[in-house]
Amino acid sequence: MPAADFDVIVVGAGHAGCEAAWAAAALGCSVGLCTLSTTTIGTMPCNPAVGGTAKGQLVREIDALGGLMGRAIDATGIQFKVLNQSRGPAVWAPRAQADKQRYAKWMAQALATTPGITIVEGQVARLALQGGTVTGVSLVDGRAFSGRSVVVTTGTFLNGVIHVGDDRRPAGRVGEPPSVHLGEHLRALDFTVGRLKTGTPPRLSRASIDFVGAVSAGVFHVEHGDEPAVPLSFLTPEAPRNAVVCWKLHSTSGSHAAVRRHIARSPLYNGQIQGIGPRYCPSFEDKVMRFPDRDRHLIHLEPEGLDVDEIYVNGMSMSLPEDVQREIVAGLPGLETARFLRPGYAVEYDFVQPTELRHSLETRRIRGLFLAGQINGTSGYEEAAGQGLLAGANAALAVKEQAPFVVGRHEGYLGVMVDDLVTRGCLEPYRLFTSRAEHRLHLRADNADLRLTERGRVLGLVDDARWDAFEARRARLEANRRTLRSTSVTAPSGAKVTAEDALKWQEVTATRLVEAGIPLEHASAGGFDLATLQTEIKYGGYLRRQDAEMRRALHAEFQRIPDDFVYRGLPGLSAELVQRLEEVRPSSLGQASRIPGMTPAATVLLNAVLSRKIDGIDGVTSGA
Amino acid sequence: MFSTDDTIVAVATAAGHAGVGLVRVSGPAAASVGFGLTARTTAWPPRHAVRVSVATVDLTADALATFFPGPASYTGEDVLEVSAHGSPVILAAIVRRSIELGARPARPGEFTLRAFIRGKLDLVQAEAVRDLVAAVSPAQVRAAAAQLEGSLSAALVQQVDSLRRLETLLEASMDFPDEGYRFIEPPEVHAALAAVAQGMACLVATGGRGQLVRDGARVVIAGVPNVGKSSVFNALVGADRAIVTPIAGTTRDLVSERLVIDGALVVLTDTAGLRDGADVVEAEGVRRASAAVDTANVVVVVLDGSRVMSDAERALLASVADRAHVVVRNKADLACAWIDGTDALPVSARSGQGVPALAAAIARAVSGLGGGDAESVLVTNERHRVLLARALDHVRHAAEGMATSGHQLPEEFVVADIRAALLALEEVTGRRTADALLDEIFAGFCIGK
Repeated sequence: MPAADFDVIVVGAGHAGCEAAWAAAALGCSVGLCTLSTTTIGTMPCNPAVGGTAKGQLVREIDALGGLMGRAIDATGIQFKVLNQSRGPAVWAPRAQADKQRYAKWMAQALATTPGITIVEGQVARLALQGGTVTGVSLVDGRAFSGRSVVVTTGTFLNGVIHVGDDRRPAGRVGEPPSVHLGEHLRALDFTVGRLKTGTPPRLSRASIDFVGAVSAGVFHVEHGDEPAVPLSFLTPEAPRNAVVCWKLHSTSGSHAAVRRHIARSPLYNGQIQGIGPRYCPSFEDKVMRFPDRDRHLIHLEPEGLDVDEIYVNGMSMSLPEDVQREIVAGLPGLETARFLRPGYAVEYDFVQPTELRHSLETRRIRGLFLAGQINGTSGYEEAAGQGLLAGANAALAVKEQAPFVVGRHEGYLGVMVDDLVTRGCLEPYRLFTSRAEHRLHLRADNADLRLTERGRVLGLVDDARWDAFEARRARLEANRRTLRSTSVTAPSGAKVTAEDALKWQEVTATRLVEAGIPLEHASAGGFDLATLQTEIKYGGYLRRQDAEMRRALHAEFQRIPDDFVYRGLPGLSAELVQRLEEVRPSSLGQASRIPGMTPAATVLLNAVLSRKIDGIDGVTSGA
Repeated sequence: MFSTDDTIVAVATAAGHAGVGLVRVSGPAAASVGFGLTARTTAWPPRHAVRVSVATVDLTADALATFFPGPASYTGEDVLEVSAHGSPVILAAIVRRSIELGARPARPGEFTLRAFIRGKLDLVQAEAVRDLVAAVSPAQVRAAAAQLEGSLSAALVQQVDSLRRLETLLEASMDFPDEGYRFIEPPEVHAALAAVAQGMACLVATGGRGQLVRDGARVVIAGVPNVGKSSVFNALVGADRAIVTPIAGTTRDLVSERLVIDGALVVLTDTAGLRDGADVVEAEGVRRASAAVDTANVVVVVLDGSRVMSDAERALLASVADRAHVVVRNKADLACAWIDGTDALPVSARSGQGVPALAAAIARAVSGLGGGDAESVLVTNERHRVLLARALDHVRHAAEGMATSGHQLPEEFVVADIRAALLALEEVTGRRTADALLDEIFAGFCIGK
């Protein structure tokens, strides 16, 4: 094979592209990272935060595999909080407010100092193809680069259109041109392309808001970070610093009336927007129109950084005309005199139905072509970053002619997300939720490293420093388990019990045992050591049961379905189902059973055919 | 080892001499097999019985043929049903001729397998068909028919819906903490769990009775030697013999018969090997007899009315006092040696006097067994009972967790229990199932259904 310019070409340097470039380079590949501008690497175009429910667990998984996101946010975060602390450990979710500029700068710096990555400034227009295999990319300016794998992470740029009222203009992000050529190119290659919509709220000037006055008037409530702050990365040695506070307020019936008055001017309500938006993150118009009985909605004011004046108005994503947005914001208590920096907007963009993909995130249509991030129908920085890491690693493994790296649903939210995407496709922007995981009790933020770091090490993603830290952590956990078993404490009844048994009592925590003088080691800043120990013991019964369920479920995952399996002609499968199966091409019986519309009878039939329990159907499998 | 897209044929009614027998043909060639069988040349009117004459090599028989075009048929395929005189010879000849015309003999459960694969039946209904075909007592037929109509499925769906609603609300609380409130408060979760547990416990409780309806109640005749146990046994079997099949695994010491007494299926066991004497064989017989008594659902204690009650008999009576039992004062045709004011039924096994009353008493005792009232949904399938009981365990586990933690059990653990319960229930309703389980179910079918 002739030498290529790069082993792996990554198109786009958002959250997916950054992780993809890093992962491919970490596996020893030369990487060309194409970005429209070197100044927009790692940009956060929407909310200034990383983590949250399921997303926080996902960031820990990315970190456990060596990825950048966790370290980036720990280094540049300005407020840290674990969500769901009143609930159980499986849904504790770390989140941090980011300093957007510092975050992007950290990311650009990290990529610049990763050996093997070359930043290419320019817009990719087409893929170079040879037969069914991608061989490189060509740029709008006429340059061309050859590459053995290509990862496309174009976010909202594919045929992006931004709407502010009736003002609609082609753009990927505000002020940046969309990727029209590449979008048309992918459509021409027959990919199933759909259209989604997402939105962002207006930004206000921090200097123009009287926070002290609004707080003392009782209309704003201050929200502090946790002390000590809990980091996102397993490698962060010390608790990060909370540098800012956020504020909470409620919308008023006056602002709702303004929305209703001007609703005909919302592109969401007058037919101007065709793309499907996320139900879990409704626009402010949607909240008001769809829930008329609620007289107030929650709004958070979040600073976008230490050195910037911008305040992100979380909960008010809008696409109404700018004058209406100004009227609505000015009608909110405490924001009467706030200076309006820029309006919120809705953005419509193309995505490729992810049922086009294998679990490796490689397209089935074109060999060597990988897709990650919003182009696969997802939303969220974390979802994008997770896919980027997997796509980058798999692009590199393809170059090295090694088997793809696939995370199982039982191993991580990474696995849940990818399997959901390639199996079910997207009808609306996909966001991770903990309820999507069958084995949620196992997929915790505190044990992401225990689940994945060893796999990352085997692959080559995890460097020596991380591996050493991980081994030390595993040793501490084991030592702590021994300590608990060998130490006895006195129960309130006066009886002697082991510290392990005492930890099972509702009111006893690992921290309390440490305070009582039991020498439990806890070196990590995030409290991972004690969190893991305590959860394993307190909820051991539940965890063991889930483990057993996990093992049972794995059976169907190991029942492989050949790539060229012929579904047409199988008796008892409806034409519609045959079409779904041919689209998705499930790789296992387990995956097949999760395809929407799949009936138990169809699953049983498929299993029977796969196990050759029904003769006479053998003829329909070709070459299997 | 069979395909599911060819045409199959089998006798659909139980083997044996019945008034009318039914041959069922299902598959794409059903109509043309019918043409060949009857020499008819015009299209079958859908779902109308047509008088035909079936000619085979050996004989010609009058029959009624009904054609059900798919998918509105039992299997979802084209189905032809031929009703003829119930003689096994005639029915076998029709099947043979159908095979010559291109059909293939159906394997056990294959019609139902096809109905299941084509979405005509859910799992509960598929299993009920097997139960219906195998039913030997009216109570069994009622229970199986009720399941076939989906009343067990409907009862389960109610519990599944409640659990799903709870799961949804709890998930919402966990995935949307920014909303700043719980979508359902812990006391409400606890109350809902308790309600579901109660509903499921009622269903599980019918499992005991359902089991009896399905397998028959074990009724054991006990008594000291020479009181006429075997005569009572023979009188009951002789008088009410409806269906009698040998019971596998009986020893020469215990004689059992399966029979229908006043509409209830019972397995009647005579501890006939019990005699006095102390040799090794006899001792083993005594041991087996007392084991049979221990595991009986109903004990029929036979006393000799012509002799004074012995200490051994008083001990036997005392030992069954708090169990379902019937006391028989046998040899009522002889002079009565005792009257103790008990509810002992006077019976003469020799003359047949009192035997109908004894049968009625046994049926009453059987119907009083197990939980649930007679009209409620019955869980007659052991697999259903086990899965329901497992689901109930999970729901109770969650409810107890809520109670013992003062409602502090974190939501994700409550949901873990709810999900585990749902998984078990869905195995009954057939939404999620394993292949091994289906092998079992379909292997249990009679040929033809």
